[in-house]
Amino acid sequence: MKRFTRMIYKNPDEMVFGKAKFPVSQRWNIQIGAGYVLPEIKVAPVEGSEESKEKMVSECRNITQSACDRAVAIGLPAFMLEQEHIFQQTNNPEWTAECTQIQAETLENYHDEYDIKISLRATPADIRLEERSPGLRESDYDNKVMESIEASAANGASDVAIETIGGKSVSDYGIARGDPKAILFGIGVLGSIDMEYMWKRIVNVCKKYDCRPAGDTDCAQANTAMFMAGGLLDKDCSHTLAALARAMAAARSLVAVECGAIGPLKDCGYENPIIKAISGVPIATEGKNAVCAHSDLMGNLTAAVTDVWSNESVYHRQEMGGTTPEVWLQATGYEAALMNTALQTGQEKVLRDLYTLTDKYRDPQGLVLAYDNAYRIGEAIVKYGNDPYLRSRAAALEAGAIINEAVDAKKMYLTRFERDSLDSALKIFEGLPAESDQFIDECLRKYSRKIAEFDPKSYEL
Amino acid sequence: MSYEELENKMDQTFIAVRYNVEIEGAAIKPEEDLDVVNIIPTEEPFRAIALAVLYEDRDASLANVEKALANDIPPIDIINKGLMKGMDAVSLLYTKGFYFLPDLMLAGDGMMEGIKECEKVLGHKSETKGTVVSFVAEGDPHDIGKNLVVMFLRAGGYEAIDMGRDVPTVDVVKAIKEHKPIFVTGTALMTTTMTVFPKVVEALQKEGLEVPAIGCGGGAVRKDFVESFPMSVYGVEAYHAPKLADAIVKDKKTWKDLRKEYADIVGEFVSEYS
Amino acid sequence: MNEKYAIALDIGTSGIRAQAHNLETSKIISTAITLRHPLPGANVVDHLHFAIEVGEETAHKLLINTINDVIKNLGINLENVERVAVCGNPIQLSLFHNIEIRDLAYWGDNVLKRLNITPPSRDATIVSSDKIGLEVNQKAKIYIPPAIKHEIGADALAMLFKSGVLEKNGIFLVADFGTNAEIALVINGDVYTCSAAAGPAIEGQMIEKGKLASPGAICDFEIVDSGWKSQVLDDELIVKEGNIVDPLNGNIIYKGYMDGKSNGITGTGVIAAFSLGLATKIISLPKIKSPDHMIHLQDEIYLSEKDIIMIGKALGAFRAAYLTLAEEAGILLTEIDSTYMAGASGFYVDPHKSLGVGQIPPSSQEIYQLGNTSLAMANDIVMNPDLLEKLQEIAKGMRSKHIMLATSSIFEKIYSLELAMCEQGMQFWMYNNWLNKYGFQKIPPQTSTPQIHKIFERDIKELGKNGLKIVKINSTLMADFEECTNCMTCTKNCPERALKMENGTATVRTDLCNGMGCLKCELSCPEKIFKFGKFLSMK
Ligand code: B12
Repeated sequence: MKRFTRMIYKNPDEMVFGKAKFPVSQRWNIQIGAGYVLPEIKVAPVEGSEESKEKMVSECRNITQSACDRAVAIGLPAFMLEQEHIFQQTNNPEWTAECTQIQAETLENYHDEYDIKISLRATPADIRLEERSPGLRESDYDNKVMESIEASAANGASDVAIETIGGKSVSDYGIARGDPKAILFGIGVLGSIDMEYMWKRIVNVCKKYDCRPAGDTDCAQANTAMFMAGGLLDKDCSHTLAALARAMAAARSLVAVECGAIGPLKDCGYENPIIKAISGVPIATEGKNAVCAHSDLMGNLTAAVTDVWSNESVYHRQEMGGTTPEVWLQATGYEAALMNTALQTGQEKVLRDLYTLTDKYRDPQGLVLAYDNAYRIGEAIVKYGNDPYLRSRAAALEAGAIINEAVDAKKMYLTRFERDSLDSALKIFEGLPAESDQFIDECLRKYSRKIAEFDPKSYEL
Repeated sequence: MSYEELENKMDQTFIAVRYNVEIEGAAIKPEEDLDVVNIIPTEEPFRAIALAVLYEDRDASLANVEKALANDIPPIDIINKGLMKGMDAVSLLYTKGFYFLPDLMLAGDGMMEGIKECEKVLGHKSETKGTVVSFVAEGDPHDIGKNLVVMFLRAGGYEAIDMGRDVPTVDVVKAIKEHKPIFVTGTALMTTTMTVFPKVVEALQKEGLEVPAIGCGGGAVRKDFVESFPMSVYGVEAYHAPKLADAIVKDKKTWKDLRKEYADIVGEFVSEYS
Repeated sequence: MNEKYAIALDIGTSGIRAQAHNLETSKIISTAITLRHPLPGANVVDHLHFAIEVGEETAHKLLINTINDVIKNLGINLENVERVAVCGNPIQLSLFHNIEIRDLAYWGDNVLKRLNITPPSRDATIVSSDKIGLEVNQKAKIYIPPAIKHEIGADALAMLFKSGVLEKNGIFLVADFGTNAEIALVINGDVYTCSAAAGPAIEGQMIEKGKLASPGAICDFEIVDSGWKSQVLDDELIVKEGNIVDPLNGNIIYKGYMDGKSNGITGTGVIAAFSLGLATKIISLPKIKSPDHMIHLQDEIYLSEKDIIMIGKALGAFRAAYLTLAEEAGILLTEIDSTYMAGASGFYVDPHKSLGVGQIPPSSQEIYQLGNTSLAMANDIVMNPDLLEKLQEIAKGMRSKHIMLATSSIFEKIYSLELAMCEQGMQFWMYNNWLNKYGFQKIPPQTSTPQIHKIFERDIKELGKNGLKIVKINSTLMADFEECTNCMTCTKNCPERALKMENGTATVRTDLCNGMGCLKCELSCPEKIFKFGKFLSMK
């Protein structure tokens, strides 16, 4: 496996939405990152549909049908439909097969009839349980995840993505307690190890079919920190610490690409701009049109260098303007149209900068993801590219430096809570060993005793 | 327009307000506080010495003082222009609610460490505004309040003789004879031990001794009890102690005046005295 | 009827509880309790101080007279009582036993040296009833269990013994959350103990509208709609539904059964209000964020900012104490397997709220509410007198690992953080940062799935077939003040209306009197002739 030790983008200004250094082509005549932005729609099956396979299959068909109807009704030239599996789908790979198949058939009908460009993304759930023996590796659940990925690939998915959960036991502990070392270990070391385990296999499976290995997201870790950090007035997790966690997440999610994933990277990976800067793969992101799923502090900023603009997730139900697949595809569709207009008229960099500046100084979490800063964090990562621990640490330190510079320039103000937690985290990171082995040793000693769910065997440690 | 131009053109607050910062105030370095700026000296080495106290860094405090002494800076200046200024700033931030009890204790350690070093060179105790004797009543272990009183007195420029806790009355009387304090503070948190205060007064009277005032405080103690015997004044908050001492030293106030003018002297509303 | 009986007694700081046993059937027959203590004052130090000031003999007699009243209400022939077992904290047991108490009234060596006091042995012992003055068969034996060490008494031994953790492997936290909390950390049979003087706020005292658990006391709250619904104790001490009130202004949202019938708030109620206040952000320490800075409850009862700080200081003492134990023993709070809450207040408090306010470690997963273990252990002893010897052995084995908080620098540091939090409004995250800075563990986050095991319905497991009797104390003391001018300033100043004055003869209801912590009568006397210490003769 070759790790990134150089930046693919030569400077941050090269980055823009709708264009990636390495565009991806998929069936149904679609290219991603090739000069236009696709809107994405993702809808969670209604409660009760998990009761039987028949109900789930029909639910998936209905979602697909609604999305296609609206896409045609408002004239979208292209879009992506993602299906994120619930537990029962992944745990029963034959459900996956049938659901994917019916979705692919429905989409193909629309493609044939209207020539609309479509991408079908299947995202099996990572249902592995670290605390249940034998842990993350080679358990029944582990096998089910891989079987589901294969079932997706074999039955018509254009690409597969996943949100793996390696290292979550430790990072959760760190996030809840404000323990930066645990967060670094959980995301940077354990997360990276488990990514390698998962993605080498996923890429091999995809090779057998006309299905692209797309990417992973650190939803399980960095987004946990982001949700805990919450709004400006919440104090369960400091926003500066959440920003550092995000920077580390980039070093971890990059592993998928190093294993052969080609993008577009999965939507809820807020770290994706950093990975795009490093690797040149197209990315999906989410922001203001994902308010149906959650609140964040960077609704526009995440659009700046996106290639697929997503609504994250919404329950399948009726709104005044139609069903949720219709309503939210329309929302992401019109935003993509704006970006595509900018691309057509040569104004894309202006729009990119406006998107960025609306949120750049709203919160430290957005600040470190502004494309110029994302690029800097990317540089810090590739500098130590060969060592997952050192590059995660470097990412965190660089993110800290970015925040501190903004504070010194009086562009960003922090509360004492944010200030103190940043200072103490940076101090801890600076004092860590320069050798990965030593760091891992220390952490194993400290956290295997403290965290009941943490099982070093799951990482072959 | 370039990204930078755009960025410099915009008024951030027009677009997003960090309400957490609006409400709690931005985290600034302690020395940047508008009032602290006026206290901390700008001149070195005093600035570094004061900042070490402000940053509660005992080791740095000691190192700075040693360096200054080696450079023949007069110990008196180190104390008054450096260490005490740092501590003034700490007390100020404490009353403003930015610093807390543990900050006081750590910063106080740093200051005392430095003063001790200076006194070694001086060969004697440094000049202070006056001597105060502080004790916790015999039979009482509760010394957190007394520790605070001692800390505030020292920060306020007094030499506070800390007699510790469970101090026998005879020892208190002996210390008063020896140090001739301008003020005495006693602390008691148990109803069984607060009865010591009138006994101290009685013993002093028996020997024909007098002090300007004995401040009596602590959880169990109440104003009406303290005022049932002479020479005493009921103390409410630890940081009142140096203000009471100031009133005695500067304005020649007696215990009778302190009882009457307490709120004025400490400069705030005190419900017990209203 | 010539049945043989035994009596189990628990002397608590806030009341006396007695149970009669039939020795032949091994059944509990009846229960009698008081809701107050006969000695003036709100806590053991007040009781001690009173005993020292007025005379230990008087204090002993007051106590024994009340106990005699209580056991008369058990409805058995006291002549047929074969044995009595008693349990309580060392101060109560020493007053009962009529032995030296002054060593418990002061800390350090100086007072003891000056007054030539030798601390008595507080080992297990058996005395005859005539020596104590109990009005039972004069040959009846009285069993007094041992103290573990100084201020850690038989009551602490009882909670450890009854929780059953001494023989188990694992890490357990056992605590009796009274005015003085006995806290023990048991690690595979090794017992680390300490005593945390939390303060009377925990039992509803020193709170403006506070009172001990008694009829009319508000004892719990829950959030319903936009208001707080109170739970109030009725005349039988059963919890009944009160009003739903808007805490910000006192407006009644819904009238419950106990509308108009509450007259104060008890310790568990204060903890509940504190917990809801923090959760709903009405309390932002040290402030209450309502227009008039009060939390309004039903029937014009309220909590002030002063009250909130008092309860914060008391709960802080608990947290600082168990954290100190954990640090001394070298374990993490998250490693504790189960937490046991003993005593009445540990029984009636809602553990979910205890978790939220730090009374027990927020990570406590298994929580047991044990009830009154002192009475339970006294019951065990009367049924099996040989137990006394075994208890002595257990007590001896525990003496080595007692942690004196008074000399623990860990405790002092942590308690200063508690003070900063409740008096100065230091934020919890800063508190945790400070712990970290000091090199201590941080307070773990709160578990969302605590398992609560409440073994019995009341804090007393079984009342017996004849049920419960609540006995009113009616003890008085008298003193003559010859120079009295009958100005009545003393009686007017008595906050509890416990004092009567007739022609220079003062009569005080000792159970109502606040004692040495108050002394308003003596201090307000314009002629300076009222001396509290003169109360000598019993009516
Ligand atoms: C912390 C504490 C302890 C700690 C003390 C640690 C230490 N190193 O100080 C420990 C755990 C060791 C302890 C022990 C005991 N304690 Co204790 N303790 C407390 C507690 C919880 C807080 C006291 C405190 O530190 N307050 C904070 C400090 C800062 O306040 P402060 O000293 O009053 O000082 C303030 C003001 O009064 C003022 N001040 C003080 N002096 C002066 C002087 C002047 C001149 C001025 C201007 C101001 C001033 O400045 C401060 C504010 O800025 C209280 C209960 C409570 N909720 O208050 C019980 C309490 C004081 N303790 C009490 C008791 C009884 C005991 C024990 C006897 C209990 C026992 N079971 O053994 C033991 C004594 C020792 C022994 N026999 O072994 C009782 C006293 C009851 C009474 N009516 O007398 C209390 C009230 C609790 C209760 N049970 O009701 N205790």
